[in-house]
Parts: sequence; C-alpha cells; structure tokens
Amino acid sequence: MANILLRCVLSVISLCLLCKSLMAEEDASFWQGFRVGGYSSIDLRIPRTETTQLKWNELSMIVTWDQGTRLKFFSELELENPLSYNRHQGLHSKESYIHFERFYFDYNLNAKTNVRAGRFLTPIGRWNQLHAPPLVWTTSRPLATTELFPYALNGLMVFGNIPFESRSLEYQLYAEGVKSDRKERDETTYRDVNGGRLAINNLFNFTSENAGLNTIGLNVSSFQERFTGSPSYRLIGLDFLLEFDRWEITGEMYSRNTAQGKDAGSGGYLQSAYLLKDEWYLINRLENLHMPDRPNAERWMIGLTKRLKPNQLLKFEMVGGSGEYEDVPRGFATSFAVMF
Amino acid sequence: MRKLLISSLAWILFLCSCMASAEEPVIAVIVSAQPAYTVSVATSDLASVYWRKKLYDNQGKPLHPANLSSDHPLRLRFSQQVLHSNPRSQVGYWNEQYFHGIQPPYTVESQEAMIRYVAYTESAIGYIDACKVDERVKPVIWITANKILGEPPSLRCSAATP
Repeated sequence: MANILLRCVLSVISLCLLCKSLMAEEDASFWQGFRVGGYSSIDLRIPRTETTQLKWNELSMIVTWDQGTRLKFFSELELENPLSYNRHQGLHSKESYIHFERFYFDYNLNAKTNVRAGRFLTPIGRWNQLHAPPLVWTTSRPLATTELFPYALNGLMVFGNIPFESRSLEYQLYAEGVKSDRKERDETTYRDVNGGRLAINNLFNFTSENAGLNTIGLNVSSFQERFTGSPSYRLIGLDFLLEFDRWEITGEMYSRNTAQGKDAGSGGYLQSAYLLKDEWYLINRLENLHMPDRPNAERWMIGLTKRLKPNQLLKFEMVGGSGEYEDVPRGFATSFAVMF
Repeated sequence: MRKLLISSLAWILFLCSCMASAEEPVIAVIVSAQPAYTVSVATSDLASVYWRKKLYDNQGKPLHPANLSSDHPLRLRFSQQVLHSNPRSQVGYWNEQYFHGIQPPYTVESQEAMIRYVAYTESAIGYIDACKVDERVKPVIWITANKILGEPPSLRCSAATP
C-alpha cells in the first residue's frame, strides 16, 4: 500500500519538478501548455446483506496539454481503491491499483471534425462519459451503464459538432485499434468495439428564463466479450438530459442482441434531481437490468445531495429493489467527492 | 378626435419602444479590429463557440471566447438568448467539460476589460453593449431583445454612452 501511495505521490512531484526545471531551459510556451487537475472521492456503504465498508475510491490525476495548436493531449492516471476499511479486514489496500483511465491525443482537422487516438471512455450514453463522482448526483451508478457495454477502448474516434439553426448535432464515431490483454477490474472485458453516438443539443430550444440544457442521444455499438467463442453483440440505446426550472431529468436505455438476433440483455434508468434550497438536491432514480444468464434487477433510489462548492458534492442515498449486484448493493450510502 | 387617438397611440408605442430599448441594450459580439488578431464568426456558430463545442475556426486557429462575470446583466442576457440557460445552471456542464480537459470561456469583469482582451488576443470573441464599441474592436453579430442578427440594427445610443 505504502509503495503504491509513494509511487503516486512521487509521480506527481516529479512531473511538477520536471516541468519547472525544464521551463527555464526550454521554450516556456511548450511547458505552459500543461495543466494538472484531478478528483477524488470517499464513501461509506451500509448494505443490507454485506459488511459495512468505508472506502477511499480513487485519486485521479488529469494532465492535459494544449498549446493553442491543432494538437492536444489528455491523460487521466488513476489510483483506484487506495484504502478500504471494514470490521473483518480492518484498514487495507488489497484492492488498490494504478491504471491509465484515459490517454489520448486530439487533432483538429477542420471546424467540424476532430480525430482522437489513444485510450478513451466509450462514448455510449451520458453516465459512462461523465462517471467521475464529482459529476454525478449519486454514489451508486446505474447497473445498465456498467453491465451492458465496454467502459473504455483503445482506438480511434472521429468527432465534432455541427450547428444548425439554434441547435447542434454532435457526433462521435469510434473503432478499437489496439487490443489490450490487461484486465484491470473485476469486470467483463471486450474486443472489436465499434460504434457511434449522435446527439442533438438544445433540441427543444427553450427560451424561458428557467430554461436549461436539453440533449438527446442515439447510440449504436457492436463488440464481443474477450473470450473465445463469445457472440458478437449489437447494442442500441437512447439517452437524454432535460433541465428546466429546478429540475434536471436524465435517462438512458439500452437493448443488446447477439448478431443472430438473440436477446443479450437490456436495461436503463430514469433519474430526477430537484433543487430544494441552498444547493440541496432531492434525487430519485428508477432503474432496471435484464441479463439472460442472471436474475433481473430492479432498483429504486432516493437521495439528498448538497453541492458544497461548485466542485464538491456531498451525497446521501437509500437504494432498494430486487436482485443482488455487488457494484450497486441495496442499502444506505453516503459519499464526498471533490474535483481539483 | 380619431386623429388625436391615432397620434396618441403612435406616441405611446414610440415611447414604449424607446423604454424597451433603454432596458434591453443591443449586445454586440465583437472580435479584434486588428487584422492579425481578428477571426470570423457565423451567427449559427456562436452558441457552439461559447459552449466550447467548436474550439477552432475554419483556418484551424483556436478560438478564445470571453464572458463577462456571471452576475453581469449583459452576461445573463447573452446566456439566455444564445445559450438558452442561465450561468448558474451551467456549473455542472463546466465541471463535465473540465473532466474532458476543456476550460470554460475566459471571464472578464467589465466591458472595458472585454474590449482590451478581445482587441489584443488572437482569435478572441467577446460581447459588449453595442453602444460601447470603439475602434479597437469590430462588431460582427448583434443581439437585440429577441433576435440574433448578422447585420447591424439601428442603434439609439444616448450622448452619455461613450
């Protein structure tokens, strides 16, 4: 554990020192293109059927480089599960590991087209692309966004934004290029990932003073699981965001079939966040997941989230429903998340 | 009698329109007047530029949009008319963009600061009261109470407006 922490801290310090010492000797503007940030979160889960656990979930370091040219760089190095505590195991770091969550270069081809090469989050839906704890209202993540498709891939993506009238069409087309054999998490790994997402922003063109963002996205993807004989999957999905007055309503739904047309799972969620007062939000979510080889799961969630500062969230939630999934246990959870 | 009524109505309408324009100044979207720093912006691209969805112009130069502070009346109107949301509700969006390595538009505190930033920053875009436009910047888009225009509307600038 100490080794991992030490390595992480040393990496940050050495990167900073490297930047500082070289800035004096090299072209300062190159090094001024770097920015360092990150996020972290800690949570306490009291599940109905498992042991209570206090967990430092991650320490994430985001390094970007943008010197005002067509080329940009982005990386996210993450120390996962640095520390956990439960009454059986005490304080431990058995589940900790470091990995590159994202690592890519963006190149601008023209005003409406960009190319991304490297490792990036699979552009399916909203939650998967914005899953960092300081960006989401709840401690738990909807099952459908973790069980049905790959969360990241190594490859190429073409993306851009095309304005029309007062709206805009956002597109992302991606294909896996490099197959990674590393299995970094206790989760299904995938190969031959290809697909696209089309989203229309400002669909409703609200003009009221209480209007907010509204987006609808269509997702299509194909992939296989990383084992011999895995069927090819075809996934289609829909996601949306609607903000109006004190409400934010989001949802995603997916249906997955094999290439032969057999049912290979489906699921979705519908979530509302309502601003009560003083940056306290009431959160409600309904979700379901159907997998052919596992029991169906339904979940309801009710929670309260306080935006302490624009970059800090404090969350409390109760989760109930049917079906056991380790990632989203039923019970109580609270967490604090910060972006820096 | 009828003439009197019509002329009274006309005067009332005229006064109302004057009052409305006094309350809702025309906003001018500005770029630098210096050829080396200027950039072209289409009306249809304005929202994408300010949402940082469009990061480069057609020549591949990075765009540098600037905002007035979040409580400035012009910022509120600009946000409402161009981005269809208010600055307070955009906090989540900018956190999301930060997560993807994209910074929000640069913020300045006053219209004079906006003029200076835009005038001397390559490919910068800003907005000010159309009556405050001077030779350092060039207006390219105009935002009236209910329209976004590519051509200048008739302006009623009071003598007090510099």
